[in-house]
Amino acid sequence: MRLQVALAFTLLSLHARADSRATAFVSAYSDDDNLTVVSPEVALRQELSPAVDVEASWEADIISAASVDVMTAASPRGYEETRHGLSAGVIWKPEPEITFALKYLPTWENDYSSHGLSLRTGYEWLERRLEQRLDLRASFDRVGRAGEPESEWRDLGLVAVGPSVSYVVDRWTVASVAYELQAQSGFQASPYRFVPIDWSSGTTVSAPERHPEWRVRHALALGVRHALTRRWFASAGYRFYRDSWKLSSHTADAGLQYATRQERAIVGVDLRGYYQGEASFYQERYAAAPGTLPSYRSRDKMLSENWSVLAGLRGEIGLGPVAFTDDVRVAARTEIYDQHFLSFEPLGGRRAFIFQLGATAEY
Amino acid sequence: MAKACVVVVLALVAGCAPVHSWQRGTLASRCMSPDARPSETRARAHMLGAREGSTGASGEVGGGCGCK
Repeated sequence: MRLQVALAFTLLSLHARADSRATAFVSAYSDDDNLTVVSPEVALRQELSPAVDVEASWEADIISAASVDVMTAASPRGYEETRHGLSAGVIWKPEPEITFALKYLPTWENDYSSHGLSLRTGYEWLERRLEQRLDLRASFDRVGRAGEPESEWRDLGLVAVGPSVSYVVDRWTVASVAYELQAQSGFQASPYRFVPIDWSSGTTVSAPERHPEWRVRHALALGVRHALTRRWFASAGYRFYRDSWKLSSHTADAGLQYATRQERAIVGVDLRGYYQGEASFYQERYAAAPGTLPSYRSRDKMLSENWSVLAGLRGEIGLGPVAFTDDVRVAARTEIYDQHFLSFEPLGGRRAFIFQLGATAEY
Repeated sequence: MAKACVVVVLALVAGCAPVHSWQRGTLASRCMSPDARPSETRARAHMLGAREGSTGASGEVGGGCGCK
């Protein structure tokens, strides 16, 4: 018995992670629809006291695009732009089982700005076998066109609430359930997209895209993680989504990881499948009586019927203590993303390659 | 949807077996934690959110985006 307790404490201390950490990360996305996005991120989390941490991060999306959407819209030459995002937050643990985390997230680009606030609460009970969380977030966004004065931009607001529960099923298995309700109000179309309308007189006209101003979203996700052996780990998940635009989707994912002794190295593979139906007002081609326009009209392929597969390979290595740090870990990931559109005339599908590289120092 | 969540949680909690503290070594592994790689999780959710019509219940919070 004493040997078991000693062994457990030893294992836990080996896996105990410092609360202070610094992360540098970059992700690169490139697809055959001529879109490239490079996204660097720097994040810092600093322990101020045993009960309080602060965190901050900066991230960016550096975008270069000449996709079919862009070439058929208002800027046929393509575009380049950069989006910046910051976050600043505080994490407070008044008791070991209780967590409060508050974060402010502003983002901006030349045609969009956002101010977001998120609050997460967590409580572990039943001898820390059950953890329940509640995520609350709200954001106020402004949507415009590049070169347009910000006073002419339009508003978009969002509120979301997301309870989740994870629990220890047995000493090898953790399961989770998460639900999220989102409500969005405001301008939700693209100011750059125009929709072709076929009049019965034989004329085709172009009208600005128009989406409903309200959207209520529901998402329910189930997940399980299971240690097959001391070194092999499997995970699986499923998410169902439905919203007030009558768009439904199904997402399934599975993963397998192998960790070497003391987790000096971890390798893994994962696979994700996705299918969605189209929004109720989405049509591949709109028809109307001469001189009239459909109330709602969209040229957004994200609202069309589509399916996709995402497959990834990941590797991570722990370098151990370096200089003043307790541990430095470097991870790399490569993914292939194949998406197929079943009701989007300009583009039948696209294939993307994604590469990620990151390093985290714990101290 | 909310009633379905409650039923699922109660059914799963009812199946929990006691796990003592000295039996939790495997559960402490990085491979068992969904929060172990926040940057990767956030980047993936951001990429998929800009390419698919559905979002939510991913556990990650990110800033607003005019991603087209």
